[in-house]
Amino acid sequence: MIKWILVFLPVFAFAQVEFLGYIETEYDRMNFDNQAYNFGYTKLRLDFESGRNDVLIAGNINIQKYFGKTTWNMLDFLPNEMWESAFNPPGTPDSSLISDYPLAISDTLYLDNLYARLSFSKADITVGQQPLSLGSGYAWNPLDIFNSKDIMDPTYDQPGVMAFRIEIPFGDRNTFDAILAPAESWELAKKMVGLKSGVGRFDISMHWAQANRLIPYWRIVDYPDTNTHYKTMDYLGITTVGQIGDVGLWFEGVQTMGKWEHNEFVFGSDYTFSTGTFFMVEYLYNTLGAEKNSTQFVNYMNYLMGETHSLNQNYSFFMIRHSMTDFISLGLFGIANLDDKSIILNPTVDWDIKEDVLLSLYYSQSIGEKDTEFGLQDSAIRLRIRAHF
Amino acid sequence: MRYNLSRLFFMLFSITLAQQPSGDDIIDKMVDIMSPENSQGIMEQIVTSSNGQSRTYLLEMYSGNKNEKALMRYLKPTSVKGQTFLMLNNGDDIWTYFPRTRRVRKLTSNAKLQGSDFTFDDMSSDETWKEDYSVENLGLESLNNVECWKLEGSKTEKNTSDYPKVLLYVRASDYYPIQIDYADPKDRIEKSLYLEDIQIVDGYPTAMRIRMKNHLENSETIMETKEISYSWEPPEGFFSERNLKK
Repeated sequence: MIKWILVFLPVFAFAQVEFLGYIETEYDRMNFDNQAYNFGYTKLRLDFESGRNDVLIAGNINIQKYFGKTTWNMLDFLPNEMWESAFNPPGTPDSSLISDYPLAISDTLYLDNLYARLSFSKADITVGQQPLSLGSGYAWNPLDIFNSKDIMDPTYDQPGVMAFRIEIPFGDRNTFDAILAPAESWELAKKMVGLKSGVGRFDISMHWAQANRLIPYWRIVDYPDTNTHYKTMDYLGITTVGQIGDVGLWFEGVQTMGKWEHNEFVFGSDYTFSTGTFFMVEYLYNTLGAEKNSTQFVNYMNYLMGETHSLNQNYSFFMIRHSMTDFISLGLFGIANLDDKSIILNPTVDWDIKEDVLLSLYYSQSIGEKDTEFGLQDSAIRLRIRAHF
Repeated sequence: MRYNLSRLFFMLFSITLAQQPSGDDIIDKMVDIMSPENSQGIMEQIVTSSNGQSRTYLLEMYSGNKNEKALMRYLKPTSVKGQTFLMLNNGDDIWTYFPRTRRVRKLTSNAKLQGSDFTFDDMSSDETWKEDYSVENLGLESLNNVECWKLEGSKTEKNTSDYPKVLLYVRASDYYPIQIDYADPKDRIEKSLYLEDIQIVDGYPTAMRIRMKNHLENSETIMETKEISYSWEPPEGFFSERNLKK
């Protein structure tokens, strides 16, 4: 990373650099297993940008300081029966029983993005650690092999991805897009090629991608264990977004090629009523998640590590938002695990309290059995203030 | 004699009716005078809520092919700086670009513009007036001491707007509109668009201040023109998804 700073530093020294960003403080209180946990952070995001049109150099530095509870026992977030057998198989002496899997969160200072975008007459090339955001889905993006989304906050900033990207527009609404995220070997590098076009009131894109991804363990006949296995896989993907009448519609899906079959798709729709009330719904199907009534420890681990977009296979997301005034909006979003019949409901308030200052308040209430994905939790409250500068 | 007077009055009335332009004629002239080939400008958008709080946004705006294409980019405040909208096909197709994620997404055309009383439908071209509304000329009427043609537009089957009826007040002198009232399905005037401080720019009458008042929510959005030019020529490919990201 230091190397990148040294490369770009001379440019900043001689060019006019614009600085902007935000300061954000979040306080969280989570009620879990009859205990309350308080935690949060203060974050500074400093964006810088230099140049215009033909050459743009941009990036951002994030500084994040945590407070309250900063060490967690990951096993608290799993139903007991999921991890007991994996960590403490029958016959384990009492002195060797495991009940902790600690995860400590430390303060951070890091260069999140640093990239140069070069615009030529026929193409744009972006090089460096850059934001990549792919797909038409809101809560889930099966096509996005570069990021993993926080489903409780799907629009939050994603970390930058080290990549080379070339975009070649042609015709009225067509773009050829190629992305390479290098790794220590060509096989491990993530690659994606896409072709986007416009058909009527819809944008349609088709993709081929290659990534070293998780293989569902139940497909490995040679190793019928519950360990995680990886293989370089080829994907075919399609996304579309558009509208019929005033109803917005989108679809995003991927299908692996070859032996390790896996497919995942999202279908969504939105509508804005004349009152300004906005409604959105999405459905996810993901064969990389566990089938109904067969969730195991490894599924939780894969999901928590970001190897799969969902714990189980069938999910629904919905959101309704209404502007009470021009500056205060009330909302409710929910995520339902349709396989284990658990749901998390989140009423929200967003208040634009001052120019460039936004206050967000979320409450989460889980509904479901204790051994389900969302039923495991109780309730939580989140207060976030973000001031842009 | 009485018969002759009545007949004369009827004839005069008929001649007046015959000379009165139709609603479609007025709309044609209105669209023509409001549709320069291209435009480029900077506008200040002031959103005022019902409790009197306000926020100010600064946008650069471009239009081409007689408003069939448009591009808007927020310059201020920093929370939305760089967020850009591309509207093609008279506002039927809308894309938005989020600079922080460098993501482009297609939007539905009835979405609302950044905390304001304008929808993208409101911001789109005037060219589709005749397709969206069947317009009847209700005659001359004085509005704020300006002689105007008062037109009533009834939503056509093709139109998916939430407003079944609109009332337009178009200046008789140059066919430039000064007020448009939007009636909801209950026939209440839900919002009104006021075109004020009309100046001649590059030969075109131009409202330097456009005000959308929502009567039901008692909120208001003002678009004030800070800079405007109709002599700007868009470079090739300007109204494209690629240019959204620049």
